[in-house]
Amino acid sequence: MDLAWFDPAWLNPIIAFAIGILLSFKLRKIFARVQSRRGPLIWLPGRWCDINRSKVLQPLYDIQKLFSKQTIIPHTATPFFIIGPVLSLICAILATFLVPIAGIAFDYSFSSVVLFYLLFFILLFIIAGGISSASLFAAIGGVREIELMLANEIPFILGMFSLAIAYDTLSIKGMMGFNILSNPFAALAVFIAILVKLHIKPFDISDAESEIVGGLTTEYSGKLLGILEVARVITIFTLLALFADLFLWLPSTGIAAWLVFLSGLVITGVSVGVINALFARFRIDQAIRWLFVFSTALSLIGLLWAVIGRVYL
Amino acid sequence: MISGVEDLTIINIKPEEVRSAAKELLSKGARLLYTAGVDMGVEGIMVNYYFSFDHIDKNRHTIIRTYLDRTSPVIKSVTTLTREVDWSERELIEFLGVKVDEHPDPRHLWLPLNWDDMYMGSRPEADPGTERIKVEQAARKPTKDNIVVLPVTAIPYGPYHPAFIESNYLKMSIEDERVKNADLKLGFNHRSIVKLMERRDYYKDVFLAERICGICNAHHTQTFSSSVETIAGVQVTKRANLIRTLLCEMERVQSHLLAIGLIGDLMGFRTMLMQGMRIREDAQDALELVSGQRVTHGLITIGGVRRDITADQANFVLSKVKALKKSVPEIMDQALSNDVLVGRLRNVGVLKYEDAVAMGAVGPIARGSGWRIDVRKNSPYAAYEDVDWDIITEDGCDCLARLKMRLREVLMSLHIAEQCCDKLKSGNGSIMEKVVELPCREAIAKAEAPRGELIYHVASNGTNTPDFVRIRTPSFRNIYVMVQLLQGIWVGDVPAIIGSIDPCFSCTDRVTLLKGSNVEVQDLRSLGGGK
Repeated sequence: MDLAWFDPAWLNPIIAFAIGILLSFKLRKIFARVQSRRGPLIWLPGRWCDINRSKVLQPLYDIQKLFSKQTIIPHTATPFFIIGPVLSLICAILATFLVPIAGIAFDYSFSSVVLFYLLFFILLFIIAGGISSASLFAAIGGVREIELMLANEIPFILGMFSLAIAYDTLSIKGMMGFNILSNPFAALAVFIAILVKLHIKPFDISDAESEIVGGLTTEYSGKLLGILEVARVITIFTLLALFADLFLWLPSTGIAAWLVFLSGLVITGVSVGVINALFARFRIDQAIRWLFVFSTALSLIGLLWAVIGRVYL
Repeated sequence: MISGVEDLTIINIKPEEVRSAAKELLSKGARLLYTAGVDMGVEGIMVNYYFSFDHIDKNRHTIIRTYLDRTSPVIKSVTTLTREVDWSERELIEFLGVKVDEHPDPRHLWLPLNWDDMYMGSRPEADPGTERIKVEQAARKPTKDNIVVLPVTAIPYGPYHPAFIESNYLKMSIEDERVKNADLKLGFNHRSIVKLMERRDYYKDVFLAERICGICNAHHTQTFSSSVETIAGVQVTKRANLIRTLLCEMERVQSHLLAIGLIGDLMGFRTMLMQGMRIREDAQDALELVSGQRVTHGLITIGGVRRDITADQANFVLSKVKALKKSVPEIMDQALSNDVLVGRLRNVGVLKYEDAVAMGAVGPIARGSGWRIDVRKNSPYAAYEDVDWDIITEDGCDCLARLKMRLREVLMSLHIAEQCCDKLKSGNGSIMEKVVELPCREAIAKAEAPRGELIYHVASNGTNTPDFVRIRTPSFRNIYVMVQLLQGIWVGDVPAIIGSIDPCFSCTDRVTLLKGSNVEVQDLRSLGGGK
């Protein structure tokens, strides 16, 4: 059969969801181990198998449970309450096509710009959906999320652009490489930006449960919350894979490419998990100040570094 | 040594003279601990003002007592002189119907918000058959100035909220991430313990007192037993006092470790809570071995303790104390070297020394503001005079200072517990004194619970049940301070302040007496739905 018309990149969303589930499990496990807890079990002794099962797929079971539950829509909500999560999920799926998984992705000469917008819209639609629920907690969470986005997009884009300058391209495939050595400043800036986008611990301000209950997702339940969870799982994978591709990639093909990609993903995932467990939460003004000062300065240095490298080397 | 407060003066005066007498005592430096009313029947409503000089002069206490006419009880407010009794007088207004003149804020604190509509006034919707009020009619128009109908953009904290372990209702009006105004509604944990105590005999009351607060139950039984022993004139033996001290100090260790972990958890630092809980297990194990229970120990009783501690048990506790002495400094280092956590707590919720004195903060909150006040030194009870220890204070006045103060106090408590174990290991002796007779007397006893100063006032009428019991828990004071601290801060700092105050709402709600609870549940739901 002729499969020339079939590009393996069409499988990216499925791979993203599958690996995203495992990554979510890994984040929980690391969170638990740092806290001296056991966490969800990977392997069970044979004699326990009739009373319990392996919890590696626990994030999947959680999503499955959410899809089996009733969805409650507050009477104050506008239609965007339902559209928001769906659009967010669509953006997340579209983003996976552009992020190379072991070197496989749709690629254009400007794909990084498209990816910026898609990653931006994932959050924007969640904000739009959350705010339209008319919950006070969601409103406060939305304001916080927008403030974080304003402070966070600049370092993220500048960090990626310093790679674009170094490689003279806007295509993600063209930028891939072991750039953590050639431009560590940009790597750190992008890594922090990824933490903020994923709401990892010092930056989980917009869904701080002790302050504003559930934040943006306070009013979501059932299938809509399930959609948001799927989008989150895919986003976790997309952003971590993006970092692994851009900064921890060694040019290779076939099985070797998968090994390089997965090891890069595991290193990124473990660092994110440990950071999540080791920090308290910033207050919103502290986070904004920190991002505007430290993170932006870091990305500017990265940009300068790339320009100098381009001009003099 | 009698374990209750020995140096107690009771002054009987007329209602009109209360304010001038209070002014005189306050000018001498007294702290006004509490105001409580008791319905004494034909004699009228007895109102007691508990003054304490023990921070100046060891053990010295004064009660100003006055009787009000039952048909029209009116008294001049003392809150105008000192803010310390603000909530106590609101309690008088609500539970005894006393009209407190010139009180600055005479609103409902415990009773349901539509109480006036339901039970007072003309009662237009009353059903003559059942004496009940029709719910829909009553809920329609709540009183104007209550927490639900304030004309502000407000976010509700509670009745159930992740930042509160227990239920209460904190309503804050928010403007751009700033809290403009905060108001608290209590009464969700009402249990009317003091009324229940009047119906049970003294030995059952010990167990009832234990259940007021799960986390400082040994202090409640210790204080209740102390006051009854003072009435009976019984002296607790030295060994029983040592066991009581050991129990109280181990309880302080586990309570403070939980509070420290919860501060971390409220700041989003879940790892600190989990590690704190892991360390706390050592203290819980020690308590379990000594008393047989992890939470309600049931060891302290009137006249002594119910079981002795053997040398082996003391050795086990010592080993646990040694393990804790190693692990607590570790968690202290880890917590204080976490920049994000320290940044969240520093200069947040600043309670200046003068404010702490003026509002009557007690316990860790007062000591975190540099006020050297501790019942264990000021009015010593149990065996605290026989062991080597000192009051711990911090001068930071903010949430970080309170966290540090608790961590250092844990170490001091471990030091005390170690000495108690050493003494218990070598010595032996009787642990129980027989209580023969309880004469018609009254006594107050105090203890330094983990959250601060705890007071019991017990009066005996010669029978097997107390005439009345009045309790003032430390959180009653500290939550008042907490609400004041919440004004004008960031929304993100609210959990920091709640965590650093470590409130215990069940303690605070101990006296509420409500009728027809079904009716109230219905009302609150319908009010909450309409926002």
